Amino acid sequence: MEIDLKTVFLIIFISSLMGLTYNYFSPSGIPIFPEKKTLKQASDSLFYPSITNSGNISSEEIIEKENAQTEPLSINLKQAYELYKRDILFIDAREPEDYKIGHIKNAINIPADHFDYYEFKLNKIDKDQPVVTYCAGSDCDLSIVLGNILSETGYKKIFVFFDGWDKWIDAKYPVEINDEK
Amino acid sequence: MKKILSNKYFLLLSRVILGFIFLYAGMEKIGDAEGFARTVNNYKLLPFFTINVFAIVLPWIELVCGLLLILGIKSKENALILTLLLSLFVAVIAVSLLRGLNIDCGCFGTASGTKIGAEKLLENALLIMLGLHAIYFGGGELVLSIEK
Repeated sequence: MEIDLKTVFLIIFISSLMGLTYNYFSPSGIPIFPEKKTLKQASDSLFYPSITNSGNISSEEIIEKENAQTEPLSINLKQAYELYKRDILFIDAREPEDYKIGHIKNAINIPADHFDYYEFKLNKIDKDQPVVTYCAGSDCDLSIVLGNILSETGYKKIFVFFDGWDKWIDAKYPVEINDEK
Repeated sequence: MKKILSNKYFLLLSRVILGFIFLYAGMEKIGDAEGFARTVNNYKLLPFFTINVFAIVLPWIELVCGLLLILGIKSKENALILTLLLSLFVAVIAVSLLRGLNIDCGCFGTASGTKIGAEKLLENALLIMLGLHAIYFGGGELVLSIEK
């Protein structure tokens, strides 16, 4: 079995070159070196408003007006639960199979990897309405991906609950579990 | 046994199946480079700055080798590259399973959405056998004759 190693390297080299060239000209090309996007952590003041002296307006509203948030913000478990108690919409970014097995109570499912198929679900959701995205937890970044997609679509108040499903279930917060399996 | 294995039609079959699978896998990934990069990232094995290069280059190696293998150009060399890739995939999937990761395989891009698992290991092992077959005995019937 005579194998020409020079040919092997040549094939790999040329294929790589083709890939880089294609990526450069393709409209769906990606940067060669990815930018690390770190989400800003939402400050607690967003969630625990104190009544101010100026009439009935709470500081929460002031903060919301002053820096009309555009980028998705990262929230921790405690903050997520706080939003949950206020009936903020939770969006599960995982695959439908995972969602079916169990999800945060009242959350809807928009899989980040198949956003185009599920985009219609957004029709009912106002772009000024705050939303929380989440996925499995630290092994998964679908929540961030979905958060970024929603931000590009025009949503302004996006919270990414990065700890996600795993931490939520550990904390024994409300869930819907499908026991049929 | 050797006679059966070196049958040129049998070799053609191995070569074309393996080639076609990789041609398809490559095309699926090229269609969604961003999604594939994300899948690679989920394995948490490569340093962050190398992920996109890997996601750009790997699908094209799969595509080119798959195509050349189907055509029967440099069959042994292309089969070797694909077999090495498959061995790498087996190692990566096995390590990820041991680490308890429950992630998308990304084997055929993000569209299929299959998770990593024992069946993926088996699938890759079968493909490695096809690859070894072509490495040992060459392309068989219907090869383009630029091989010396």
